[in-house]
Order: sequence, then C-alpha cells, then structure tokens
Amino acid sequence: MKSPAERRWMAMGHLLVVGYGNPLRSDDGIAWRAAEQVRKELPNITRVICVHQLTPELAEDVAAADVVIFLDASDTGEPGGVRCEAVFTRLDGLRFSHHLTPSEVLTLAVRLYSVRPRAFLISIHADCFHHGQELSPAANQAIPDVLAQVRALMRT
Amino acid sequence: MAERKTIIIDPVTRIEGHSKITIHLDEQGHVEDARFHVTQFRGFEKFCEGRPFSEMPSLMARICGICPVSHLIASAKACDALLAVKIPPIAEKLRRIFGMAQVIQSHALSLFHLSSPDLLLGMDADPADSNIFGVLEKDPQLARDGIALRKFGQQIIERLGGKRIHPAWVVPGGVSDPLCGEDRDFILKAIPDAFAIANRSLAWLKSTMEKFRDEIGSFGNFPSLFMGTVKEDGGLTFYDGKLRIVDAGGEIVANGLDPTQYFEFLGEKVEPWSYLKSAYYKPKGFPHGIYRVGPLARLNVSDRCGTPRADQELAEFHELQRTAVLSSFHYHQARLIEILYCVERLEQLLNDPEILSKHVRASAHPNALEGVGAAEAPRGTLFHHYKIDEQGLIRWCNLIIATGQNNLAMNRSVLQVAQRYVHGEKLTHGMLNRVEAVIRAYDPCLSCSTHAVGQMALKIQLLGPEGAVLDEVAR
Repeated sequence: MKSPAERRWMAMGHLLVVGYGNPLRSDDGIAWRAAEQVRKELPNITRVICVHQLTPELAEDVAAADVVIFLDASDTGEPGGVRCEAVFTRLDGLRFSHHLTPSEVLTLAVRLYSVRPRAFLISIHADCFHHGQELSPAANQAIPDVLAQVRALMRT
Repeated sequence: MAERKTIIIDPVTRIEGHSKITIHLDEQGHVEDARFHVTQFRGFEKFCEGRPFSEMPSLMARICGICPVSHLIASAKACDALLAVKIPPIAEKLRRIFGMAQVIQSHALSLFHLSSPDLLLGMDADPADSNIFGVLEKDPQLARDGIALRKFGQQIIERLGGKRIHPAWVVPGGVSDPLCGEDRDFILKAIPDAFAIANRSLAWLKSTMEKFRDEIGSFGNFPSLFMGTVKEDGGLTFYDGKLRIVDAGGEIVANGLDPTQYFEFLGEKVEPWSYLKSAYYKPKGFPHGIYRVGPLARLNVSDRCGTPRADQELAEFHELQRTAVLSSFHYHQARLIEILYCVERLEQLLNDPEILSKHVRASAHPNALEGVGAAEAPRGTLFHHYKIDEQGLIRWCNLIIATGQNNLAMNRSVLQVAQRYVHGEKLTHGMLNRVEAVIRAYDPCLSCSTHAVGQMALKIQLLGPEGAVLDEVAR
C-alpha cells in the first residue's frame, strides 16, 4: 500500500537520484549514504545511481528521468548544512576531460536526447575529507535534511 | 644571438592521469629533443608487501578507475599460480567476458570521449570546442554512439561484478558468483545495438583517414617491434595465450614466448625525468629493443580475430601497409576493430549452453611461493608477479604495465611530431595539440603505470627567470 505522498510523487514522474563522491574519503561519501536513504524511503519511484564522478554516460539516465536530483559533498559552508539549487543547461564554457558538472550532464542529456528533465543539486557541507569510510557527526546529522529537501522538491 | 628555449605543455589534456611534455628548441628554434614526463607517483608494488595474497586482486583493482578489471584478471591469474589450480572452464569464460567488457568501455572512452574531438573537428580546432560538447554540436549521433558503447561495457561489468568501478568479482581460483540468466539475457539483448555502433563508427573513422594523411605519416610512424598475446592458431586473445613479437617488416621475431617468464626477455630502465619506467626487449638491448603494445601491436601480431566481421576488418587493416602497420595514428582504428571483435565474441560466449554453470571457483591453499599472471589489458600486455612466504603474505611484487611498455615509443613519437609541426618562431594551438594527440593515440593510463618506488631517481631543478638551471639536486 503506497502512502498518499508516494502516490502523489509517482504521478509526477520518474525520479533519478545521482549521488557522487568518493566513499573512501569520509564525508565525500555522504552523497552515497544519502542516496541510499532516498532509495529506502521511496523504493518504488526512485532510481538511484552512485558514482565517483559525473561522466557522459549519465546523460542517458538523466534523459530517461522526469526529475533529477544530484547529491554532492561540498567543502564550503557550515558542516552539516544543506543547500539546494536548481541546475540549468549551459551554452558556453563547456569542457570535458575526466568528469562533468551536474549542469554539463544535464546539457548533454538535453542536447543529445531532446528532453528537458527538471534538475536540482543538493550540496551537503562536509567536515572531513580524510581517508576512511566513516562520516563525521555533522555529515551524519545532515542526512534527514537531505531527505526533507528531496521530499520538498517532489512537492514543488 | 637567439636563446635555446623549452616549450612546456603541462598538463597534457584528455588522457588518463597527469603528465607534461617538454619540447627543447635550439638557437634557431628547431626542435632538438622532446620528452613525455609522467609526473604522478603511486607505489602499489611497495605497499602491498605484507598483505595476504588473497587480497591482491581487490587491492590491485584500486590501481585504476578505468581498467580495474584488467588488474583484477592479471592479479587473480597470478594468485591461481600461487594456488597451483586450474580454474573451472566456465569461470575462465566468465573472466573472458568480464575482460572484454573492460576493453569495450575503455576503448570507447579513449576514442569517443578523448580523441574524437581531434578526429571530427580537426587538429587545429579551437581548444574550447575540442571536447565532447564540440562533438555533439558537429555530430550528435557520434556522441550518442560513444556514450552508448561505453555504457554497454560498463553495464556488463556492473552486472557481473556488482559495480562499475573496482569490482571484486574475479578471485583466486575463478570468480565469486556464477552468471545468472537475467544478466545473460540483458547483455545478449544489448549486443545488436553495440554491434551496429561498432560498425557505424568504423565506417566513419575510415572515411576520415584521408584528412589525416600528414598526421598518419608523422604520428609515431617509425620502425619498432610489436608485442601481443596470441592463441595457438595466431588468433587475437585478451585472456590467455603466448606472446608473439614481430618486427617493423611484419616478420615474427619471437613466437610462443611464455608470459610467465617475461623477465627473461623484457627489461625495464629508469629515467631521471619521469616516474614511468621504460620497458625494452632484452635481446636487442636498450633502447634498440623499443616495442609497442596495445591495439595496434595486437593486430600487427595476430593472424586472425576469429569472428566474422572483425576478421574482415583485420584483413583490411593489414592492407594498410605491406609491412607491420607502423603509424601510431592507426591505434584508433585498431581500437574499434577490437571493440567489434569483443562484441561478436561476447555473443558467442554468452550463448555457450554451460555459461550459467554454478561451478565457477576452485579452492586451494597456496601450493607455490611465486606466481605470474598476464593478460591483455586495453592498452597492452599486463604482468603481475608475486612472491609470498609460507604464511601466504606478499613478500615481493612486480607489475609491468602496458603504458610503461609504450614509454619509449611515446617519447619517440612526441619528438617526431614536434619536429614535424613545431617551429620556435611562432607557436599555434594546432602545433601543440598534435603533440598531445599523438600521446592520446596510445591512450596511456598513467595512474596504472607509475610504481617504481625505491628505484626511481628523483631530480629537482631550480630554474632562473631565463630558464637557466641555477641548481640541481638528484638522488
């Protein structure tokens, strides 16, 4: 039995969550943890992909979604804070060598597959990028806020 | 009087890893020398010492985010030798499938994401456009094909290994889990599209060759040896076989070489200006024993591929030159032929009626204190050599990586291209891009190849504002 919220979200379309970062560098893995939490909470309507960095192949997945939420650790801001912003396509200054930005992945998807998914970036302000698989207390505490942001985005 | 000058390209772009190129000009502005410097350092060979041998495949996979599967396979084969086991036949076939998926995704990355901007937009294109976004503007289908083909290889790796990067599915004695019917059917269903892309891309690439006649003539176009693994019938293989070496004339110099005895015929030399060692063929000495590995070399040493379409393309490839195909520009075409072969061969292997067998791993304790594993990685022959103690702990480890085996050829290629295109009086982007592009043709993977801790000479130079060496420290 799906909750009213889930039914409402399902009517809104397919949600793709892309968590990226290095899970072996402490808080840089926060996006992977948060993405997995989203998968657990919204298993029927969410596709989750966790990667070390954004690459062109993601454009196909992004093109198949109605809403895309990128999750990433940020080295700025108060540790544990969460910031959400819309992602837009870009027209100039696009480069690719080893990895892409959310905006560049979206641009690839839009230009190659003639789609226009809504896209957002949720940045989690990290505290520690040292070697290790444990999250700092601040990063751990940010996960519920990330989930709340995802829910809020799905309501808009 | 004019001064001698050094042009530094730092970093070299659109390759895997970090490096720089220096081009040394004489007083007249003519290129006197050029070098490819690998400026990053890893050291896996040293910090693996003391670890249990059973950890080695997973540790070795961490060397590289592009070709972890190749390291897994070579490492597991070295561990098979330590166990002294013959792995189950289906485990071997699954490893072959895994390895070919790796070849497809790695070759697709090199050709479509890194080199296609040069091939599609030209060597003199604005650097701001020389990337995948420039490709999508000029030829969206090519960009889509590159994305789809790389994803095809990555999805196979993910299905079999559990994740795209650093999977740990290949283990000493075989593989950890059998293939399930759902995954087999998923891959088989995707094969027709991958086959169509490989064919379409080959047709496109061959149609562009005329535009690059000058580059073909000067991009690493020189006599050298070529080395690769072949099956007993001389056919192309990525997993198992004997090493064959041919000369620039295409004549076989050595055949049936046992890869586990690599140290008898391959040597390595350390240069003070790079963290990348230079491998050479011992019977010809250093540096005359220069040889190339990877797609170009594999096709030069192979008599056949063993699949219908790839065999047609190989025959055409061999027609490019009556001798061995010498120009490193043709690495690109060789890469696509190998992708075509892998797609065809994947279909054959997945249609094996026994491929879903549950018997995929042999168990044993160590029965030997020394083991060598070799395989053909996307960039060329890869060797892992381990020695353990009675407790199964690694006591010594040596890795010979494809990029190191191409080091002499890459340096010679950089010099050849610089002498052909670079003139000290006036530098253009197109000149310097060609110097980088010849390195891209080899698709070097530098994170894989820098392991010479304890042996590497280190030289630090203090340069004055005019470039004069003011001081130098070396160890």
